[in-house]
Amino acid sequence: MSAVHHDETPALHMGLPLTNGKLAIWLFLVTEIMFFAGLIGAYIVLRFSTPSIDEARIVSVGSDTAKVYWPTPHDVHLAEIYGAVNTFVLICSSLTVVLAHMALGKKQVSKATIYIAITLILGCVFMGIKAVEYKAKFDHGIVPGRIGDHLENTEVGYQYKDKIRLQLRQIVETPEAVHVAKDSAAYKHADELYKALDGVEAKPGVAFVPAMTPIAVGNKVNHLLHDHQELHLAPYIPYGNLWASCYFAMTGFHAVHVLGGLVIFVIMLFKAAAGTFGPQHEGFVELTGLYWHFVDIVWIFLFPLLYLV
Amino acid sequence: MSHDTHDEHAHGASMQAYMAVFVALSVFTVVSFIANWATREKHITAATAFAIILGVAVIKACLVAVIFMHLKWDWRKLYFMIAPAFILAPFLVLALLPDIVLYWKNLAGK
Repeated sequence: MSAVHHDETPALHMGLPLTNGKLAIWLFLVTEIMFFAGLIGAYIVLRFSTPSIDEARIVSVGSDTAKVYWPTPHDVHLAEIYGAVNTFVLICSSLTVVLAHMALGKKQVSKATIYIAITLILGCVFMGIKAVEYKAKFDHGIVPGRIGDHLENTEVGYQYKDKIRLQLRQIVETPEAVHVAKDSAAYKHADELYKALDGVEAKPGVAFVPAMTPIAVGNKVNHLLHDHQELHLAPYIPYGNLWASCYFAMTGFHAVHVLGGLVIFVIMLFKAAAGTFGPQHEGFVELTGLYWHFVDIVWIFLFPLLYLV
Repeated sequence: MSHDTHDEHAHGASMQAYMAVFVALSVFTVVSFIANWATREKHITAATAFAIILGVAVIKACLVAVIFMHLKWDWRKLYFMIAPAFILAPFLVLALLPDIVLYWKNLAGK
């Protein structure tokens, strides 16, 4: 009687029909979703609280005006092709990591090792392209806090003008230190702006020239930078600091995640080199793959948000 | 790995499925690139391009999650963890919209 009763009682399962590792990695990925949702959400909110190029506001100081709008990718020297290539690189690496997992499931260890190695290389290519892009940002002075912004605001505007004055003085007085040839057009134009910055005091026989307003300085600096890439002056990009903060926060944290994945792939390859990598690591490869695909998904959203929209 | 009935496909999709997803992801990337080019050349409006590009991104993310991340087989075991994040994440943005976006839109209107 009691035996029959015992048989009718369904066996109680502890936990979920998942491995502990898979449950743990998914819990981790869910916290990661919220982490990136915070960053991307902040970007979206800031983006929508500023006018786009079609609805640009006009700001002015005196008779000098500037169009104020959220920077287009072109304004901040962001080339779509880099983003698109990086998207493709990450898609390829996602494929190779699932193929590695599949190969390991079929006990084809050397095939899996090759796929892991390709994934590592693709990840490095991604980081390399990212580094080229970051270098371009630094070269163009697109770094949070260093960009001319809100120049219609007197205090902020004249701080920017002071900064440009210092940067121009360095170019004019020690051109060799900033790699500008003294007989170049760039030097000549920088010198002209340096002299025009504060106008000319009226004297007998000398006509009065008013000092330049911050917005006039900003517009002139942008022209100079357009013509002479070798000059390092703070560009005038409305909302540029906000843009740069968002850009570096989002792509920087994403790149750190890529780096984390690369470390794990290196560990796998070390194991393979030591001959201890085998079908017993199938779960390890699968969980790493889940993380890697998540990093891919984050980029799938970052690419259109930053480079396209 | 446990071997109950749900785990028949624990090893995920077939090679063909993975390759199909890979090709789809590549094609979708090109689609968003073309949509971006088309709006720059004024062939389509910015709003249309925005819808295409964002739609493509969502489809791509779903393809990766469902096939590459094996959610097609694991969703029933994991939805209770994943679904709340996808509810809370949009709320994070929505909660900030009135104070920041609408405030500035109103200011700009004045």
